[in-house]
Amino acid sequence: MEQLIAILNEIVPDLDYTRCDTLVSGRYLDSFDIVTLVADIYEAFGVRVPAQYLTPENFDSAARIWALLCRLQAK
Amino acid sequence: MPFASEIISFTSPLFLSFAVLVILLYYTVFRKLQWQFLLVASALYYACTGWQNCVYIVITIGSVYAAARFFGTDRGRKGKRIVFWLCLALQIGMLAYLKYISDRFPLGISFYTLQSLSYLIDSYREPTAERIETNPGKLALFVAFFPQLTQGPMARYSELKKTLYGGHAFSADAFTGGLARAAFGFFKKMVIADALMPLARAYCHGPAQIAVALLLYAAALYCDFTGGIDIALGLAQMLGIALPENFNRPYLAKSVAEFWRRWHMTMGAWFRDYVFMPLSVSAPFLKLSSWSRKTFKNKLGKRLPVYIATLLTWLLTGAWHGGNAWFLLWGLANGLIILLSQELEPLYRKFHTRFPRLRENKLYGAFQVVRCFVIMSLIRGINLAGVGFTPELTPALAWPQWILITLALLLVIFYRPPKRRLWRVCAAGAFIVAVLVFGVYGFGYDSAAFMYSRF
Repeated sequence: MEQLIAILNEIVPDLDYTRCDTLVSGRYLDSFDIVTLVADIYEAFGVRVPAQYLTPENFDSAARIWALLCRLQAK
Repeated sequence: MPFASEIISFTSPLFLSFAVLVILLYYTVFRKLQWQFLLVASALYYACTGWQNCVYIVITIGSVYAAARFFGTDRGRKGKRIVFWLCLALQIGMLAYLKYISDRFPLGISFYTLQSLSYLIDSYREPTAERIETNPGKLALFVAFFPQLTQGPMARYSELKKTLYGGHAFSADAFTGGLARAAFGFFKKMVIADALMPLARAYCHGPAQIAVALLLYAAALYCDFTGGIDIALGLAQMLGIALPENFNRPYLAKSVAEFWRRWHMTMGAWFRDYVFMPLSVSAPFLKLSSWSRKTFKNKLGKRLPVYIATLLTWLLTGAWHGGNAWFLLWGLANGLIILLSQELEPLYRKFHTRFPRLRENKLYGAFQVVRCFVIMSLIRGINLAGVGFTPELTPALAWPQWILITLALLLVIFYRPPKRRLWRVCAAGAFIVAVLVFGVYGFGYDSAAFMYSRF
């Protein structure tokens, strides 16, 4: 989780990722940021996030992104 | 203009008669068979474009329906993947052939193809009972619903099915809201857009007048496209059906990227969700990302695959608008400017850290809006070459007409849909009277075609 937050901080700095739960719906992350994040995740964790998972529900908070990663890793 | 083709145009009296008849029968004779009736009405409407055109839309509906049903079976992943790619290639191949090679161009094919593809892709990704339509008639209505067929907005099946098939009791609120919206659409198209477009052409003579021409064209295009969408959304609303919004005050955008989040929103969202994102996170692009990070070892290395995906997406967006090189150039110009502003983002951030109050400054905000408007007008200049926008010599307007158009434009800028039912009816009445007095209409009158219906 800490590594994920570090990645997020690099993409959009100065956000409290432990609290913010409107990353996509609040327009903090745009489509550019999301695909950059997916590539970062692939580099850091070796997990590929397929396109159908790129929804606001899965990316609205660091906790949700982490939960998605755990789900995809378990597959 | 022949009877059959006159009915197709939103602004023709025949279309209006057709729409009134559909609404009347929808809430009376066919109130228990509403979606089936809408399907028949949509089929009749489309048949008026020429029976040969119906072949293509039937192939699209049939193939997409069959493919999605196949995705819902227990067959293996490999077989589904083959069917998916074959069906995708069929839709794109048919669109490309009819758009770029054939002399025939079926009305609305660019719009209904993208809408069908969204259904195909969603049902392939998630083949659940909610995603897959088992009734071919219902799917046909989703693809061919007549108000949105010629210029959008492009809806997603998961959203539209919530209101398209349900029984709708007549609601005075929904009806008056839809009526006011449709009347506003007619006003924008027939009073403003049709008057401004020839003027924009007339002002295209000489470099000094180009700025005026671009300004007039921007206003005309906005009134033309949003007018058509207002008519579509208003008609659907009168039938109790909610279509997605397509505009959100685009000329108030402060950047090109923001402009595309406000203008033709359903098209932008389509290319984002079904081209840009899948391409950026595909296996080849992730491999390209690993390679570029190792090779360039800087921010550009990280961004390079995303930039390539952006440019490819914009090239495809250009190609969707038209087959000639101007449209590709237009798409590329949009993509390049968006990438440039991404690259300049750290500079903007430094600048705003140095001048923290500037973001709240209204004058600076106005500067950003004007800057974006100028950039978009310059990009639009490329698009004009694509659609063959040629200068015309039109007699100049007299000053009372200029005042009238200025007042009409101010009304468009400041108009807000009334909340009270009575005021909605009054607004609809006022717009209809304005169209009757100032617009051009009548049997045999060939109102200028909506700009976006040609795409």
